[in-house]
Amino acid sequence: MNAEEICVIFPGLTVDPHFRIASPHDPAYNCFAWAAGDDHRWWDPVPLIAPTRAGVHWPAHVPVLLSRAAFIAAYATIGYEVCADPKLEEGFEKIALYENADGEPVHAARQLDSGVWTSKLGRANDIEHGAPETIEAPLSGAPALFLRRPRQA
Amino acid sequence: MSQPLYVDDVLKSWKTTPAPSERDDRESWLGGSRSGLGTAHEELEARLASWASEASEELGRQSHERAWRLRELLASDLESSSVPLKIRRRTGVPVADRFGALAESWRTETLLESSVTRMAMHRAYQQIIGLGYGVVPLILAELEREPNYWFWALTSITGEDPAAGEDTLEGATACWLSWGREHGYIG
Repeated sequence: MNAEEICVIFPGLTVDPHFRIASPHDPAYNCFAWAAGDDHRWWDPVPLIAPTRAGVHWPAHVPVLLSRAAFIAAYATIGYEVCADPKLEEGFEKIALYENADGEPVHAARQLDSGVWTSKLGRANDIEHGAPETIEAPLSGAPALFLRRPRQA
Repeated sequence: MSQPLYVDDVLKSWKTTPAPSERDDRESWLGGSRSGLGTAHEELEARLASWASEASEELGRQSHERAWRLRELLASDLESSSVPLKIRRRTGVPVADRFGALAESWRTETLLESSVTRMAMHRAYQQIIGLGYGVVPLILAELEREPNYWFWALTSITGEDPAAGEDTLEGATACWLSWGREHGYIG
């Protein structure tokens, strides 16, 4: 997708000076994986009753549910815990978890050490944006929760 | 000029003819399947003859389930582009064209989706599953061209899960392509 097409879906990016496309399309990983720093697997709690769970990853021993609690548990496996806000904090990296109107997690973004946020858009591009709320949209929902962990070396 | 041959009709005919429980009934069962296809094309006849021979052997071993499966596989083979002639779904649109249009719609409309479950619930994806065995070689060819999350559809249609436990797109794709080669769906 080009910048113009992305801005049609996420209008907030049209006035975001930090918006840029940071990678080509890659279906191997999604936003939840990218927020966890994983760019070769698709993190997804595909239900156990699905015909197959091939091609997706979900941390072991975490409930296979499309719920806030399950995602908190999934990110806890790599050291994240819930925090108060998305403000840049020295020594910490943060994740914003987005939910749709039904309360389902639909997107996640990760804060870079510059304070700018990075998001993977489905099977498409990685982008950078200035704040979690600049990609609020029906598709990506709205930031509902923030997590943090000590910044990794 | 031969009449159009509709795969739906052939399958319906086949499915209403149960596999025989007695060996003596074998020929009439195979004959019924043959008449369902008619004599539309030499290649078709050759494929049918080959299938009938194989199915006959299976029936001889009283492996009705396997013989039944062979008949389904033949139907899917006929639906694929390898025998294009007059084989059409009732829509009048060749299965390959219908699959192509649905796949394009699914790829475009779910590009930004982060959930495989929501991708699989997409209207076009569900319609592709509904096309049945005939799209298996088409999906595998698509998977070979561009890895994507077709595993839910493939497992739904075939009942097979050769990529179970593979947690990467690359790994699951490799497993399904290997399965497709083993079963003669792709070269």
